[in-house]
Amino acid sequence: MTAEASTAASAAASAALAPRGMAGFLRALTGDPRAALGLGMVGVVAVFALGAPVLSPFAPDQPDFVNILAAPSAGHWLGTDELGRDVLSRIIHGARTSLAVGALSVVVAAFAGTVAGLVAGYFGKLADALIMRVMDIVFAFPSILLALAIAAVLGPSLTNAVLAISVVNLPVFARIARAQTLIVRQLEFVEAKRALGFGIANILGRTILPNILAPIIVQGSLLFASAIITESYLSFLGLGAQPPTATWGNMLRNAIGFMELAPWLAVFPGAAIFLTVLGCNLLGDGLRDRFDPRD
Amino acid sequence: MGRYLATRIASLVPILFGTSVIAFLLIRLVPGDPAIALLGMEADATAIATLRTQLALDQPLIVQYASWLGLILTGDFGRSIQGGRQVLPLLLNALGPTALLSVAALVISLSIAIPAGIVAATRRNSGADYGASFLALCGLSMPSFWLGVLLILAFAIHVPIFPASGYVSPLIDPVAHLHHLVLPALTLGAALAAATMRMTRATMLEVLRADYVRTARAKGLPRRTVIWGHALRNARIPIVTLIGIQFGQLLGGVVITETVFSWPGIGKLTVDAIFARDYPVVQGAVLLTAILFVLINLATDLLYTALDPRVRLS
Amino acid sequence: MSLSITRRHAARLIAATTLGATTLGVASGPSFSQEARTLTVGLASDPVTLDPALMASFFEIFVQYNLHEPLVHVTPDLRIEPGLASVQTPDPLTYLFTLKPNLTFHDATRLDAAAVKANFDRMLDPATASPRRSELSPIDQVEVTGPLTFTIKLKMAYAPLLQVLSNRAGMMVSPTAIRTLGPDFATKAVGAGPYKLVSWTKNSELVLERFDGYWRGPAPIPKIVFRPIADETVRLTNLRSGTVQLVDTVPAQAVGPLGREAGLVLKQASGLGFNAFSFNTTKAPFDDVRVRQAFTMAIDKQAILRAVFFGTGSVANGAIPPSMGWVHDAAFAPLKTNADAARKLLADAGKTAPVAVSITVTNSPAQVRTAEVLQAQANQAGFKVDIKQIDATSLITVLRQKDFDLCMSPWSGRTDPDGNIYNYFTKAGPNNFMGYQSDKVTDLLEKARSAPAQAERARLYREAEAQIAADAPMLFLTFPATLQASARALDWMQYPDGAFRLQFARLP
Repeated sequence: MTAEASTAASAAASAALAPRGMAGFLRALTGDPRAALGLGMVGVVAVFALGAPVLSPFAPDQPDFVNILAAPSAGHWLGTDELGRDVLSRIIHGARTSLAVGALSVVVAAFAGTVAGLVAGYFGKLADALIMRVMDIVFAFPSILLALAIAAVLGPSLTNAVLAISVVNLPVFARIARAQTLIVRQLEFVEAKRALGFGIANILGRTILPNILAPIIVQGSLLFASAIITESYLSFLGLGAQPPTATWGNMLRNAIGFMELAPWLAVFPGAAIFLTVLGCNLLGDGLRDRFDPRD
Repeated sequence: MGRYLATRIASLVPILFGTSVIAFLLIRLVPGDPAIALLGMEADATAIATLRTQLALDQPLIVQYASWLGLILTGDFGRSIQGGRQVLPLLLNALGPTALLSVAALVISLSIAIPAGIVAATRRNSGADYGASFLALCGLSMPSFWLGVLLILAFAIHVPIFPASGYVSPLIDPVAHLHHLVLPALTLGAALAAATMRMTRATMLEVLRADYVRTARAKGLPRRTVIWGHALRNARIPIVTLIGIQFGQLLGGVVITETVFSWPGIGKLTVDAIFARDYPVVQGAVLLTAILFVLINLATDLLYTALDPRVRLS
Repeated sequence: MSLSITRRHAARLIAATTLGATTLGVASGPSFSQEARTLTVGLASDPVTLDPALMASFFEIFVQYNLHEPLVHVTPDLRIEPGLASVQTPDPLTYLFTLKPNLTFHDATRLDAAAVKANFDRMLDPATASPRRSELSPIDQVEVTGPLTFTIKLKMAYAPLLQVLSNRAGMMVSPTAIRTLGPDFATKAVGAGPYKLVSWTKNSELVLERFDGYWRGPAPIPKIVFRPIADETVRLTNLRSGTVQLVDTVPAQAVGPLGREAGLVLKQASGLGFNAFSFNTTKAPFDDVRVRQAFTMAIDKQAILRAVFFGTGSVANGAIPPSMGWVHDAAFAPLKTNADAARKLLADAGKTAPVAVSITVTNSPAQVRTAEVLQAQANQAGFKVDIKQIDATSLITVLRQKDFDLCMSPWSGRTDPDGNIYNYFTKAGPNNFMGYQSDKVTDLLEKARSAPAQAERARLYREAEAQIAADAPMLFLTFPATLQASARALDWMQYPDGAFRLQFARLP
């Protein structure tokens, strides 16, 4: 929910972005210190996620009933959980879930939302009215409730968490894509292509899409942050990945019962979520300011 | 104005209708039969069948929806499957705690965020700006359920100065009410403050660049007058928009905060009802939330005109 | 056990009380705004309904005996005593009840034989959809024989009848209120218990006030407030700060730390229920008894007791817990943990390891933890276990539709062994989620519920338990302990079922 606030706040700004293409993008990534820092933070998490089997000191789901709820020590840097599993190893493996769900759900939502927005913006009239009313309806639900209900319908699993989060984020992408398409379709080179008799698919895919991509990517990096939080919340409610898969959210969920005995169980997975999301937001912020013509 | 309002309100009807259809179908798609769940382990098949008939769960979906909608239009939200309470009083009772929590969070958020945003904008690229901006980003990145847990750990368990959960009506005991309100309001307010601060800063930066502010500065008006008199007045609209957006998001945000702090509001009621498959409560709560959401959006738009006569509604 | 502790400390209670009150006042600050004569109780969950005919959730048990009074009373050691009525049994099919004179409900309606009959008629009426109907099904008729006397005639001998009538099925409610309140009765229940309802705000508070017409005389504590506090840590925090003085359940991991706190008393008793998982015997791989035995032998129940229940309660090998001392056999240990033997059984059954099975649990942390331990252990004995999480509301649906391989089916327990075993292991039992079809066990359990002599019943139950263990339709894990805690100043009695009967409680 927290990152959603940023989403909404930035939606207005993103909508006003000027289309620039991919080259500027790479320059932005390396040029802005915040974007670089954010990229670095997300990069570290990604390295942990990819190298989890090698980097984690213990197997994440190996119980050790002799070492239950052990405090952080030289042997277990972040302590052990209620089944004696190494918290650090579980956090490292949890990075996989968080990044995978975050990335996949944003890609799915961005793809579907962009297509919907392109169609609505380019064709207008009935298609526009129909698509955007549906988006309004989805938007009128408190997003966390909608994600929760969809995840409950589909049953707890990672794939279903991805789907639930995608549906919730879809309208944001659709709105941005539509707004940008409305601007771009009136530009001369689009008119020219139309006059030359190019097909719809060609105009949409080759001409309009590349020119509206920048704000969508910026929005994607911000929603990536919110998707990680939503996933952890679904896991927190028991609607995420199945045990014994470690996710930051279900680690937090289990930690609640041991708040007094073993506060480290609640502190570390939450910190992992926080730092990863902070990295994404820094990245998104940096990108957005770079592309924002007003700055 | 009257005509504008009528059109706007008319355009809300399909949204509310769509929302209610989706809520209706979605909750019925969640596996688990409410009659079986309600009657528990001891019930025989006859009892289950009887209850299903009484709850009209054996009717076709379209019939169930139509009769629900018919009753809604007469103001009857039906009865909760869990315990048989009337849904409307249940929702209205839960709305009070939610409103109190939301307003408290909004007050916390605005009283921190707007001054911080203005200071950050007027002293752009100073240490204060970087500090405030970074803090705001941290606030945005903090999962609120984690923040809630940390606050409970710190201020209810480690140093027990606030109650860890619960709700006392302000009508019964205002002091105890505020005491219980502190931690949930901070949890909910933190994220809001972060978003508001960023928006205030961005808007102020834009306004400070505007011609009339430059003119005012050039005329030699004191810096204080320019910022608080000219600039802030023109930054009001985007900030009001943001508050409108935030109120809408509060409705979602309270879901998590209320669950963590056992705050008996509409968010907790809805989540509990989803998990209990309490169809009438879920449907009623979603409809009510959607109505509030669209009305707040409408109110935000209307506020524009009040704040800035140049904005014309069309 | 805990009772003796309380009594031993009885002399010190008064001193502790004053001390306790001071500390509480400081710790809780402004939130401690109640009058001294109110007892506030922290509950894990709000009750669903206050109508005993419709109660079906475990969470009502903490409230039910304060609001409602059953016909007969059960003692902490599970003996039956007279309650609203005394009873004689001239033969196994006839129960003659005599009500106490001048009884009324909270609304002043007379509690006479006609009112009792109206209650039974309502519970047995299919239109009420009462879960009580199945446990009252052996009743042939309820006959009013005088203003205060009535006779229950049974279709067949049914030894557990009085235990059933000491529970929800015996709780009498006002027929007048049923008529006038209609569907609101569930939230405004009018009974004959020691306390009457003042108000009930969902998710916030349930307020009861002493009923002066209670048959034992007015209860010592004038007012009781029940507050739902879902989170177990937070519930204990509230107990420490004095916001509540009694909590319904204490998480096992808190037992150690709580025992060392001066202002609090932890009470534990052997419970009535069991923690177990049903095997689906109607489909592969658990349709083969050897595979079920193999899985059972793969599990180290002691490890589960330690890791999930922090050593509270005891290991279970059957459905009848130690609290039912007259039946429970502590020496009964049918299948010992042995991973090698488990592998061999799988090989004998012609299964090539790893045998893929799924374990279905609700998504509560303790259940998931149990499943994770089962998974780790079974995987070492030739299984490949997948965990499926569902939410609590789907559990009974999943069980009834047999949509599982191995699914949690914990039981809160009843005061008579019949209530723990008949519905689960008879061929047509409503809780026979396993699809277990044993003529022998069904026959033994039918005989056990109708045998008049307790020794004979005990023998039959032990024989049935031995057969059930051999057929292994259910994986029994532990008998949970009833764990509850209160402020030291509160004098109260713990019951194995965990129910609060606060007419016997006293504040200093």
